[in-house]
Amino acid sequence: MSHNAWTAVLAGAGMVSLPAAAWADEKPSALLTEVAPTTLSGYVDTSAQWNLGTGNANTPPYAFSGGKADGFNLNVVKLTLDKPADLKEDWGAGYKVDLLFGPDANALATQSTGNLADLGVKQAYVALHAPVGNGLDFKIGVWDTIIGYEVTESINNPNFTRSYGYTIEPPTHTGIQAAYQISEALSAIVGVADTFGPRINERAFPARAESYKTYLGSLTLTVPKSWGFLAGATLTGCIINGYNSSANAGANTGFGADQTSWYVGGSLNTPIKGLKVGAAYDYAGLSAQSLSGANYANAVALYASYQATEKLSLHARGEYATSDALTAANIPILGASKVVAATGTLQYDLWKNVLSRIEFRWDHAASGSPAYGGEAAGAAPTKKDSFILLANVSYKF
Amino acid sequence: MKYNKWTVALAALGVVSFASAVNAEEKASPVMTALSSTTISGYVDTSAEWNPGTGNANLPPYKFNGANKADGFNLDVIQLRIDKPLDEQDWAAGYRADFWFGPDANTLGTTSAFANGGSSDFGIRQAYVALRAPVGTGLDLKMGVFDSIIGYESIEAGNNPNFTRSYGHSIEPQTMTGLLASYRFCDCLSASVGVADTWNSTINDRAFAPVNVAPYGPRTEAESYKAYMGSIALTAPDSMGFLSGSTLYAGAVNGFADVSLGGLSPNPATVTSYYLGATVATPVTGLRLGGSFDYIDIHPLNNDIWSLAGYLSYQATEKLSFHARAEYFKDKVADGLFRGALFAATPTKDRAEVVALTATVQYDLWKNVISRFEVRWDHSASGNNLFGGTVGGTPAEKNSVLLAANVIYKF
Repeated sequence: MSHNAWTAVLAGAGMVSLPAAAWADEKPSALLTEVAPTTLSGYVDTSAQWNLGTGNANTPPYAFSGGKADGFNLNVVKLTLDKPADLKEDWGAGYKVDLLFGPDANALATQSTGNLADLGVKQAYVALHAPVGNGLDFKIGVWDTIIGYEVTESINNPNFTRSYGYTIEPPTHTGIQAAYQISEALSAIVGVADTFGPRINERAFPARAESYKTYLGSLTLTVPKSWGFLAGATLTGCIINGYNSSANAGANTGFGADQTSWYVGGSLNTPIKGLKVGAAYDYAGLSAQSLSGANYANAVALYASYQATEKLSLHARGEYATSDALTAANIPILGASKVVAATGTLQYDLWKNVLSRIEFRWDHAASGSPAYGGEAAGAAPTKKDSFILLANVSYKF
Repeated sequence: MKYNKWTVALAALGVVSFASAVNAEEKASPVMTALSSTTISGYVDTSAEWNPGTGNANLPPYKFNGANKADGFNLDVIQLRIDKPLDEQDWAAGYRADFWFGPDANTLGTTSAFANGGSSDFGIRQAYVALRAPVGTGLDLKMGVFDSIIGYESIEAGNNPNFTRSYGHSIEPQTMTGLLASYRFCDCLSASVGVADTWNSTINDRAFAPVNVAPYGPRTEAESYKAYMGSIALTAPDSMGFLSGSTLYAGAVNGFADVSLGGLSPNPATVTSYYLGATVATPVTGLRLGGSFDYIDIHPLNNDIWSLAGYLSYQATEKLSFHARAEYFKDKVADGLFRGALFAATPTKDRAEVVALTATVQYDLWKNVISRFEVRWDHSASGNNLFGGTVGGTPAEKNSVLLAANVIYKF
């Protein structure tokens, strides 16, 4: 994969998170095809997970966690075909196709039929560049959401397991977005999509009018180089409003509703070499479209990453999430109405192109009621705490 | 595709069978990418079948056979492989992703438990990260989804001497999700051990509740219950003359399974599969022999299911080769159930016994193309009708004859 100046700018717009930027610094292992500007890349993501104690009927419901307890897992194989728009041309054009194969494709749930499948389209868009001002970049088709600190690709996140903030965000949209670099320190993205997604080509009607669409926008501030150790720090704000019929987008009762999602997040370098910190706040409100919506979910998270040596890095995340929304089975969408989660990850890159890390995650139901455990299918939860120890091995090509 | 010395060594482990080794000697035709060590390869597998006589309701139940393939033209499968093999470094790393598209992907049955076991024209055959640790002569690891370590034949038709599969292959475990370690003690001795979620092919399957895969229902084992596997391979050294390169292979896999072979009760159960196989070079140029024995023990049942097969391949010219297989298969699950494991839908008194002979002529007329004709005869040796008829479960014949043409393009 090639990374041009605009990619770097868009990374600053919050599309690529703190650790993802760290990966982007490495030499990519993309594969050039006979069509010279097109690249083939991707990764194979595997894990082994131990959920301490007995009973997996109720596990922490963060994204991509389902069905992975106490065993070996293929998470996903991702293939990317990519030809970025040539920004040296006034009317540059390109495309990107991200295909997911394996169990996580089910969890992403972009299938246009709405059925579960081991094959999913994560992104598939045409990229266009128009010579308007500093250059206007369009994506038309299916693309990743513009909201959030973490991303769908676990290898680009500081921790293997996802945050609740990510879990309540929409992952993908079908529509059109435009990105513009207003100045070196300020960039913006606006877009319109069919729905909150992630189901491809989904429609809001007949529940809503045929003209009812989902709208999204974001602003990113990037600290200039003259600010010393703070140079490169970013602050991003996003908002998305539209129709959400999917249980994967969070704060959803299973009946479809209008949803507004807010996000504020940033990453910050520190005077300590190798130490970066970050923070994220996610909010999803249903129907009332305000911070006091009829149903809501929100999460605040803090991140710290420390690159101890060339190969060794440590990553920590602390999170507090609340929600009053229930699943169709009347279970809190976060497992409990209040959740505290702490995650510690030790990454040691022993093999070239391989991400190998060990992670410990503790989820605590702070609402006072059990949220985890239980053995038989449909069994009531019996524990207030969940402890997970896992190993994650991914090959990135 | 590149084959380094370790790949050759692992081939001796039996992961690559006799016939696949023959194919491996041919020049591969991958689409090379700019990152030279990574390749894209695969094949398109098509066939045409004629089942003489009328009635396809009770066909021989070997793997990848079915009514939808009888008396017609078939797309079998398209395999796409993206692969970066291990190189010679101490801490080498690589990966493999094998994707299947087409009818055989349904039979592959690897669709993840997340999708509740539903079948699809898309399937993942393998998807693993390969790692090497510099322990002794080098310890090779695979983590993810990988082919079973036992068996003479491959699920890849083009790597087998015959197009149709044996009954032995049909009762073996096929795909594992777990961790596999392989080690080569010396030129003539290598071994593999591994642990996986289950004996089943379903990706990310579990032996315990609340995993609940249709149509078998909830699992019942403890959360720590896993499948374990091991194998050992002996390879004849160069000093043994014409026998040089011959292999003797033994392996076993034990774990939780749905026992989908048979739709039996109790269901699911723990099963153990045993395999013993050998390939032998001969003094006759181009002639190779092989043999295999497969046995499956379904623990709760008093079953007697096993297969014994002999193989013969003769490379007559650069393009022309002959391949023969003779197999005896006994399929007795339990007294009083009146059905077998593969012959589940066929009333067979108390067992099915089958003799199957397969002969294949392969002539590689086109570059990168396997083109072959095959005749297969399956005979009920137990005196019962096992084949034919127009109603499922009501066979009308003791014999089944198949004529098939198989054309595979490997890229």
